[in-house]
Amino acid sequence: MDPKRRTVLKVLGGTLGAAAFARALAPLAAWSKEQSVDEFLQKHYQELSPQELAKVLRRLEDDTERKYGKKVTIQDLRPQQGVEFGYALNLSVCIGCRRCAEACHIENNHDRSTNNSYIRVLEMEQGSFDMERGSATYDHPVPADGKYYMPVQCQQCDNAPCVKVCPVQATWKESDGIVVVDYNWCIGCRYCEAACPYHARRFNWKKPEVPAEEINPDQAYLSNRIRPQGVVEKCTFCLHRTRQGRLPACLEACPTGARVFGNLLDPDSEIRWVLENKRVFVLKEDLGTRPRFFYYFDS
Amino acid sequence: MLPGGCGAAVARASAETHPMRGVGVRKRPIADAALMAHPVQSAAAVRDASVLLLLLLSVACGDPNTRPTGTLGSARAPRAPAEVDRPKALTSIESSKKDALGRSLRVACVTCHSLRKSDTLPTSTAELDEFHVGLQFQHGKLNCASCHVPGKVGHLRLADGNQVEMRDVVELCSQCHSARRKGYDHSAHGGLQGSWDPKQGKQYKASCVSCHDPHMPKYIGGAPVLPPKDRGLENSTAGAH
Repeated sequence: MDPKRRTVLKVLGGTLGAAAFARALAPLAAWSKEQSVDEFLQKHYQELSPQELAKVLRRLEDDTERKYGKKVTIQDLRPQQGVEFGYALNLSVCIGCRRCAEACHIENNHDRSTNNSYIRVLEMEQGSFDMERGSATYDHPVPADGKYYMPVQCQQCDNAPCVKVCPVQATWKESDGIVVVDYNWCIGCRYCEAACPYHARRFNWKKPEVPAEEINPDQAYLSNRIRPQGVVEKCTFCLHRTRQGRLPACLEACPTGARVFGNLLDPDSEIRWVLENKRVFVLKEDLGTRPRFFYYFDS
Repeated sequence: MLPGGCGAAVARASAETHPMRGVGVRKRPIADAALMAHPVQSAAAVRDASVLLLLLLSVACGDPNTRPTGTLGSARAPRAPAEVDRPKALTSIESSKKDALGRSLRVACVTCHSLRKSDTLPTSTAELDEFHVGLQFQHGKLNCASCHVPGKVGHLRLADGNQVEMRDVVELCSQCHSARRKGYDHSAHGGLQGSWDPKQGKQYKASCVSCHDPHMPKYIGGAPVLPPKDRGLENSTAGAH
């Protein structure tokens, strides 16, 4: 009796073990289809030589064309010398139309089904500053009586908690003030998402789906190239535009002119005029994050 | 028109100076005061002189970026100014008649104004019995003649009696909305298109009437676009934490 029972248990255990092993290895098989060896062995963005980087960019362009059926240009854009970006938003005129969020959605090749965007517009009670009670899902004509609207996106903090918590240094601050992510180095642990007090980071739960005809082909490695599944992404002040002298997409889309963007180091810039002449504040100043995104009211 | 377009803007400036108040007692035109960078007149004169010098220089160098036509100089910086949208000359207006699809029919100004001379301008829309009947007006206590010139359809009248082309409406609005004008000159009102740095690319700016209807300048609003659908937001009022 005993040996027979032992055999049954052995066979059963062996079968279960083999099944569990196969199951555990399944993602590996799926991974090899989605990810090439080159991609797996790719170095950190900051350690890539110009030649290696050029190879990576071509590979990514080919991948995008294969997976999404669209020819795109992925550039490596470095910060301009003598430029530190700042952004300001006039809460007196924002009407909460969410056109900035929409422009971001289109510009940055966000997943269509989730309406993803780096900007979340909060509808707030006038006189209140409790962001936890702000509604991001309001769905009625705007501006509503007794409300004001506060778009929140990455504040590009000088003392960024998200950068500090990253266990693999896949996110860092560049010299022009923009906090960037190397999507190919990110391991998707989402620590940064939890650390951000502004809820500014987004996680790619699934492979972003964008129809070929809607893909913005003007892309950069550190910004709006289509992100892989399982990595974190964030607002980059549209660095593929701003590092080439253009304004961010959300600013150009704003119908009320509530947004002001520019070089903090240029004393004649629009952003400097706002900082010097308006009553400006930053979100959650008490946390010491030192944002580069400012809010103001018309006085 | 602007490349990105400019739908409509808010005019929540409810408590601005009343447009016509004190017009008669000011020694200098209000628009000039709004444009002035420095409180003393001599400083303004210095600035004017330097602008002139700059203009002469730019003509001499043949730099097309500093052409003064259709541009508004920033009060502080000698940067290449943004190109301001000059609305097309007004040649027609909406009528109360609708076509089969419900769209308002437009009537050319000359249809009526070439045949009949308009009377002295009425003081309110209620008095309109022939021209512009049904015009909606909600803009302080202005009357028609505050801005319009009797008999000159394409022109507007400044408070000091000078006339400007209707396309240069920014000068007219600035007389009362000087605080807005100041922000506008620094692109803190009215938005900006193009480049954040005039050295790296052209800048474009809307004119007042690109976004505001001069007869009803307050923004009416509309339905928001692109509701967020990310995880954890369904049926919740929670936004950023």
